[in-house]
Amino acid sequence: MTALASREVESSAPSAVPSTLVVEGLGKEFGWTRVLSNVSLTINEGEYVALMGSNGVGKTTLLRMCAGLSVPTEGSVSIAGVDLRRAGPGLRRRVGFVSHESLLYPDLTGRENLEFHARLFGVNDPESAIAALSELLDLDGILDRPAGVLSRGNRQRLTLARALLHGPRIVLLDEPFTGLDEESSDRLLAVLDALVASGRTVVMTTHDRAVAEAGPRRLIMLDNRTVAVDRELPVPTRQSAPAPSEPPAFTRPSLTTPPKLFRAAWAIAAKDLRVEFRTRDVIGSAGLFALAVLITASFTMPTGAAASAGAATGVLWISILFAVLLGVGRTMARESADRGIEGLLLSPAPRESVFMGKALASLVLMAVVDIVIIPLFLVMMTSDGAGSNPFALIGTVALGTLGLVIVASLFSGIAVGSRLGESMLPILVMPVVIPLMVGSVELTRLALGAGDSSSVWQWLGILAGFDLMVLLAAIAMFRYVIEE
Amino acid sequence: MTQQAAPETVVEPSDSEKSKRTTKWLGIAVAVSIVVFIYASFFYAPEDSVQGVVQRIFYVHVASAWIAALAFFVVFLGSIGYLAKRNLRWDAYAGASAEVGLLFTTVVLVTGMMWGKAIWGVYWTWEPRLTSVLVLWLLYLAYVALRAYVPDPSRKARFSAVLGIVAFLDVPIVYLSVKWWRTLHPEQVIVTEQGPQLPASMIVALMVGLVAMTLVYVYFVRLRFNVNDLEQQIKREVAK
Amino acid sequence: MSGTEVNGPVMLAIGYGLAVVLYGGYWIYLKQKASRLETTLRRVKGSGN
Repeated sequence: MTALASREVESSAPSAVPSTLVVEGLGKEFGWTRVLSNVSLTINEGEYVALMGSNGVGKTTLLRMCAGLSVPTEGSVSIAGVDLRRAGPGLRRRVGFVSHESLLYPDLTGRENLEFHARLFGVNDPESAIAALSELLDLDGILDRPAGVLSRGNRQRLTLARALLHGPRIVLLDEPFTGLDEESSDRLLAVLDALVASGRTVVMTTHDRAVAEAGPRRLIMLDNRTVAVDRELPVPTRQSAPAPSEPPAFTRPSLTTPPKLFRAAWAIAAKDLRVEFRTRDVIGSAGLFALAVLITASFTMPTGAAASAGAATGVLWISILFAVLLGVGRTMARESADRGIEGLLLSPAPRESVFMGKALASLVLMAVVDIVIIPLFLVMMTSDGAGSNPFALIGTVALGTLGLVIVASLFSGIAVGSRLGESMLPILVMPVVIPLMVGSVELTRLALGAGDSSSVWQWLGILAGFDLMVLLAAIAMFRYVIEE
Repeated sequence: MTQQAAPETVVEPSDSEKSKRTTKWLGIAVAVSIVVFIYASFFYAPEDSVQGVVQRIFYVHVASAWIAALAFFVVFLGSIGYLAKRNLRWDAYAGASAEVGLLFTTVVLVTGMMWGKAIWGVYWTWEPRLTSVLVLWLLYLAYVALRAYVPDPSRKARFSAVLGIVAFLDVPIVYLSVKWWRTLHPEQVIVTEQGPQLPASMIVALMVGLVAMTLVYVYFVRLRFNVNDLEQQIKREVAK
Repeated sequence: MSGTEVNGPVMLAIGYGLAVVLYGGYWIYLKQKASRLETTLRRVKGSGN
């Protein structure tokens, strides 16, 4: 499996190597539609490029492939001589990308969004970096409001701040002027001028010729799926900013090593939990759902049926299964709602950390649901506590919930990418988790003092083996679920 | 619109004539092998002294089961191949093989139920092997369903490759869990292990069945692959 | 071994019959689908150029 072996090639091109963007023989197909064919370009550091072309000609696709968000069908994109498909953290930090979607989390404030990205990118002093951008982009009134309530123009400014936060050497902007008023547009032009003056590369798409002529020195027109025009533009009549003696502060934040696997995963999980703390979406829906299943199902069982009869433990695990399906599906849908996941893919955080972060957050939330459900189950459905082993019960619930969360997290990315959306999740998860369900039910019965206790190790083996197998599979394969 | 020479990634219509001829000869081989197989299982193999004539369903049942396992192994290989090489051909083989494997599994379940009714008196019992096959069937049903609900071909390939790998790795764990689940409830066990001593002629008939079913499998995968190819060509033409 | 009163030959016939229906049905389905698609492809290609 050569692709698997080569995927962690560290791109650490030394920062002295100029960030030349080279596009070679690039092509892209979506489904059966060819969007781009044989596009070749070289953009040197410090160039200011306008990318034009009629609607649907592939400008956005080209830009997304340059940002490493979209995998080319053929050809390659490289920065500083390193193919983006082998890009390690160092390379991804050289690029800042402003897309149509804000890539912001609507339930977090502007500041929280920026702080989260600063953390993923390894920005040393987020506070001063945010302060510098706040001054530059006039973010004062915006930073402490939830990103979801901001107007289009204000959100666009925040999006720009997110893209510039880590001092990228190549800034890619997709229609950055859409929705900006005149003052903001002028301000943005001045920011782009300052970026170019300090040696940064700026590439933006636009279909407004006035914008293209207001700053950029090179015009690339796409037509018929490839480059049709590539020429110099005259120096704009508008007085552009004089080259500063020293690059402005916002272009050179101090950076440390970006977080590795576990710290990045924790940052992502903490972000998810913060969102959940604010919205209570997952706990609310999954918890109430589990409760309703448990109570409703109790009416379907013969009265006085003890847990040892087996049926009650089955009901318990069905309610946990559904809670996990609902909760994890919700978490992933929230991540992909504003393309937040693309923000994660643009960051230098290892791909595996995205899975681990999402799964960790879901695990914490499901543990909360378990804590509500289990005592209720014990009170309502077991006749007495005699012979039960609380530690075994806790262990079983932990292992069972872990396995369910791992499988659901892996498949939730698939489900939200399918036409059925979250409704696809149960169809995918349920057949796979059958051994886990059987093992959890059996172990729960044993923990409650029923059944043949000599089989406890077999079932623990099934649970642990299953959890380990799906964990390794998920870590190895989640990257394929979220790439485009 | 000017025609752009779009590099084809999957479709190779140039060798379609040759491939059609191969499929035709394969079809003939399938027909012959099925005739031989029917002869072997109904006339060549002796009648089972305990179970009587119904035991003859054993040959198609077991041969189908083995080929189903082969089909799902091909899905597993195709999935790994796609993720490593990113060529949609791998995915097309995995997809075709899963669908055909699902068909074989359905036959295993159906013939097993009829056989069970005759010798145990019930169509279904939660016996480990039956249950495992049912779970297997459900797993690959989900796989086939997933493919139907993801229109974009490369996304479909990525998603189904992930499921194809996880499902295959899951099978041994499913079997173990189901086996222990039932052994621990001995009151339910009514199936005894198949006697190990099969007469040689029965084994010959089974081997003939394996050959015939392998040919059927390859033939079906080719036909399915061909349908897939045609669909792609049409979509490409429409997208132009 | 309960239920030996169930008719073996009948079950054999039903089981084999269903297997034949399933395999044969799938074969016919693929054949028909392929010929339908071939017609469509010819039509699409014809109108395209």
